[in-house]
Amino acid sequence: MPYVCLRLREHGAVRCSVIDSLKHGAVFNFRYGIRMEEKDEKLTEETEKKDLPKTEEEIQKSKRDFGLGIYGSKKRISLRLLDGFIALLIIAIIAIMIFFSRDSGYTVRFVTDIEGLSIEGMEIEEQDVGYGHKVDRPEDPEIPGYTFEGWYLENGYRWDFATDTVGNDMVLYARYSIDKDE
Amino acid sequence: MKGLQSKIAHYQSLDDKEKKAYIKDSLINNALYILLIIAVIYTYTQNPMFISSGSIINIISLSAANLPIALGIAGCIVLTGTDLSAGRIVGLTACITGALEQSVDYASKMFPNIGPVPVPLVILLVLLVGGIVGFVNGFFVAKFSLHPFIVTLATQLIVYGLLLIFLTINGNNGQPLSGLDEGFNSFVKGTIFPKIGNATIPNYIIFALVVTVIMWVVWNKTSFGKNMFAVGSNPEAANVSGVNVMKTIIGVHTLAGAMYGLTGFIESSRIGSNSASTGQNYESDAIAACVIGGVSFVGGTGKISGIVLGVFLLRIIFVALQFLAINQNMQYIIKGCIILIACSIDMRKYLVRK
Repeated sequence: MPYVCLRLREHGAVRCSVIDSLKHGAVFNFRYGIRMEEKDEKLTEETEKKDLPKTEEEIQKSKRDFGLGIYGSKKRISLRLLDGFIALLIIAIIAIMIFFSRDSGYTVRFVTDIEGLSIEGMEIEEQDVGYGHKVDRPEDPEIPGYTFEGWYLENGYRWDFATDTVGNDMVLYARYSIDKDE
Repeated sequence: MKGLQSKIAHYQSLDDKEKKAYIKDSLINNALYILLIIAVIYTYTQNPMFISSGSIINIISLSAANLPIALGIAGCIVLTGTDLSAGRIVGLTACITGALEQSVDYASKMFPNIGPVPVPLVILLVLLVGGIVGFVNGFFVAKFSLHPFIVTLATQLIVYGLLLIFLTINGNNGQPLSGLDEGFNSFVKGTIFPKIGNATIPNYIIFALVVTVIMWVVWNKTSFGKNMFAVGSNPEAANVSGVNVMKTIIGVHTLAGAMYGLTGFIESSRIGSNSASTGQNYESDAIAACVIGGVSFVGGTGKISGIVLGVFLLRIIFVALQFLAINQNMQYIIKGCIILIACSIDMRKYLVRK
């Protein structure tokens, strides 16, 4: 009685062997439900035979150093090259972290000018503050005819030197109110 | 313990050459964890505040905020796909939440005639909006066999356009949506836990925990989860086995969309000011976290615990970079390198050897 043998192969291919009682058989290769052409079958077999290593030493070397790609490609990928690439990236990240980390932290600048009126205030030295640390409150700037109100971020948030911490380079702007007496 | 003992026994049975190869393989396969340890130690030496209660709670909080989007996108990766629309869906749902939860007395309220909408209703709405976009993604992928990359790229742009249009309605003119209701903020960012030092544990950590448990049950204890892995491993074999591949793909994408909606809900309060740039590039962090956590692009493999670990690992490294005051531009380079490393290690583990 003839029997059918189905074998799942790579890349969605299925080999269907139909064998009768006299061991005569026919082999059909399907890929995604479509029968492959005879020349495709022959090419596949030839390529496979060509890629196979021949001696025992070659087989062991092949197992150790190469693997077939996992995205459908029959191209061999050198494991050593891949390992080297991973190691290189790790070293690159560590090097970037070491060489580009700033010991001084983030820069906090103080602007004491009154925008729009071209009035320059006193110069206050910028501070280098580590991430998560607080800014030291500088001395209040003085401009004749104006009362200092506080230090603000560009978005209008009033900076609280007691609780707020630095998360990035930033600029603090001095805000003033006009003295009513004058 | 038994696993460790068997590993030690296996190592001792190897000859010298094989021992060297084993050590090399272990180092390479765990390269990201080694990088994490080096980063933590180095950052601590440069800025001891990195290991403080406030910093640790900050890392946990940031990880919790990014966990739902990672859990959603992981399902798409298990199906050998991806989802580039995740970030924009987060942005859209964050802005919808922001628009509906603005404080009554806020001067630039987008919908002045509507008070803050009840939170459960907003949650249902963002889950629905995210789910609909996810459904569209899944439908085009499953029905027409379009590549998920292309489909989600298209929906990313469509969602971004919808977001920009949404921000202009009712005279808002694209202004960021802020001034959120205190009740909503306390629901998301408030805390039921006592303070640890100066740091508080926000409520959205609990939301993330609940979502993680639900996703674990879905992935491991339901037939939907098993079907997802079957379709991801081999769609033809799954189909032959009686799995409805189309339904599974659509279901996974819809669930992912709902997760993005939930992320938008949390981000809306966490950020406080929602604009068109909210959620931008969130998908790249989520995909990186999934790959680091062992969700392979080969398909059919992934664990919830791995995803959680990947999210934490990535967040620890990013916070460490901030503590080191590394330039923001350089942080993008490091992020890209980490993704490359994760993909390379993924490839290495699943290489087919003949």
